[in-house]
Amino acid sequence: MKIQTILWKELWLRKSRMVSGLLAITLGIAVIVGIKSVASVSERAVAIKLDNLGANILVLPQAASVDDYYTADIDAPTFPEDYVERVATSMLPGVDNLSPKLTRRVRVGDAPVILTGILPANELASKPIWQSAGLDGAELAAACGASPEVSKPPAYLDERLQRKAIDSLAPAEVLVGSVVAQRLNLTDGSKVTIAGREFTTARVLPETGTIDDDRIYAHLHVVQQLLGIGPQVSAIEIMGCCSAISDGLLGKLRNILPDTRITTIGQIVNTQIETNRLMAKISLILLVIIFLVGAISIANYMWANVEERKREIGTLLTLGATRGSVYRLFLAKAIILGVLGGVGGYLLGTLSALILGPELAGLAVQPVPIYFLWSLLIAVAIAVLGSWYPTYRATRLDPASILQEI
Amino acid sequence: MFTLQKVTKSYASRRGVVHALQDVSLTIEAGSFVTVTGPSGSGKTTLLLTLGGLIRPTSGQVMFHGTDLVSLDERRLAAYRNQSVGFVLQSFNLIPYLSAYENVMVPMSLGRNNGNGDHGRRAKDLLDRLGLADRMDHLPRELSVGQQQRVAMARALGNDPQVILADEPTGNLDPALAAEILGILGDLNAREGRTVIMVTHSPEAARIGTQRVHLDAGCCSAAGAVPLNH
Repeated sequence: MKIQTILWKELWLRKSRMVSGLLAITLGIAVIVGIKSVASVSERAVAIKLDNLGANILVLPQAASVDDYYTADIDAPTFPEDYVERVATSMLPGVDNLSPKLTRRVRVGDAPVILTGILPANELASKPIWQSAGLDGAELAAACGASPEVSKPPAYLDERLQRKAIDSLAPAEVLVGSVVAQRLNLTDGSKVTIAGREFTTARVLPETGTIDDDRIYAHLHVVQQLLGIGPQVSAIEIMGCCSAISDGLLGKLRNILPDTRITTIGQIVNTQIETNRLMAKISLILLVIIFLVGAISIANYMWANVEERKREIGTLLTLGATRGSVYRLFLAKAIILGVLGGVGGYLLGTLSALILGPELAGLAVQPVPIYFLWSLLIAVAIAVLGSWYPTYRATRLDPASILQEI
Repeated sequence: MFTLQKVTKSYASRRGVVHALQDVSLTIEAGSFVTVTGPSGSGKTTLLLTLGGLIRPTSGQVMFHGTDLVSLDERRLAAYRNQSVGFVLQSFNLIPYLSAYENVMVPMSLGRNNGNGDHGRRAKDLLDRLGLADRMDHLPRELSVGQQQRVAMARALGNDPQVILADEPTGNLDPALAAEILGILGDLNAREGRTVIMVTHSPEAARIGTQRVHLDAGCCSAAGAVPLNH
């Protein structure tokens, strides 16, 4: 008989105790995995909602006035369009979308309007209100179509930017803000002449309650051509991830574009940062609590198991076992239970999150494979620690008292 | 075989220092049957566990065949317990989830030659010799107290030790079973030449010793060889 036989026999012949121990570990880990899985999804959901607040960073020429974030691009000095590429190729983390624009006041007949050149797909991404009004990408493409003349997208080196800069607004089409449309009596399909060139109103945009309602949007490259400005833009709107902003994104952008003025919409950014901080704090508190509850339940079982086997430890020492071999015997059991409980806990926790996440939190939860590794590590570590101390104590107690304890 | 010189074992407790053994000096010859008596708390079990290498004395020497047990490191002391002595305890201390056969094999599996294939046969022989051939696969709870004590004795003999240390082996048994166990211990001493050191409360059991030790408050008040015909 090998000494390991003692380990297997104890596990096998004390099935009910093994099951209760396994259950303690499995449930502890399942609670941790389940709540963490739902929490991570809810964090992502909150992040998406925060993104929907829209662009939050504005890049302007150094000489531009920033009295009003929303009108700062109007008649501002210009800077080269390839600044967009410079930011995109820098691969700065936290830059979610780049929306270059060129804005000038022009006259349509006798009426003054604001003409803004945009890259439609990028603009759409930075204006969630357009999306919520049903002006999604597919609709835009259908309404605007591809431009044979200016449809060649700018030769951005960065693949990510190429993907974002879908050039889908036809050269002879415009999107018209609601106030301008009313003032000029424009509806979908109406003709409008700007700087001597006729355009078709592809779509009257939904009311936003901002200066955007006074704008007429045409393709950036068409506006550059129309105004004879060349490949220049007056502003770049950036959707920056709020945690990246708090990690110094603005400073990094200033390093890349030193001759520009970079500003943020303080209200949006602060909301994003504060909400993210709050979520992170709540998540951490929750994790600490469930970790402690799970850990205590596992350690409690392992402790009780060693305590009830103290006489056995005394007997083994009497029969010639060293303290080391007693340790190995008990810690091997902890490792076995930890591994089984870790696997079971991960499966149970993930399954619970998959079922209960959509039911209770309205969130579609996906399994997180990395949690499997964490489950194993945490379960084994807690089981070993929960066994180690009482075993350490038991092997150092007076054998006489252990042997005589009943 | 054993020579104890001024052995003292003290414990710190909430009420102060307790001396379980005080300046105990004693010589035990190989092949003797030593009975240790004394009131509860007199240090009998402490003396037995000191001889068994389970308790390190606070001071003094415990010589076994010229080797001071106090000087041995943990591994050597464990090997000494495993190879040279066999323990028989009052509450048997069988491992509850192992069969009688497996319990007897525990000390063998803890020993240096734990891969030896003869262990199984030796365990069967020992159980057979103690009248437990038909109880080998029984768990301790399925055995009577007398049978459990015989399994414990078979286990003590697992590695063929020179010394049997018995801590009140008849304390939990009725007189008939007690006589049976004492008979087995007597045989191990008289027929096989093993040294038996037995702690007992029973004056009758103490009488079978060839050497009697009486402890009182940790002090060895009487020790000496008793004529075999006593």
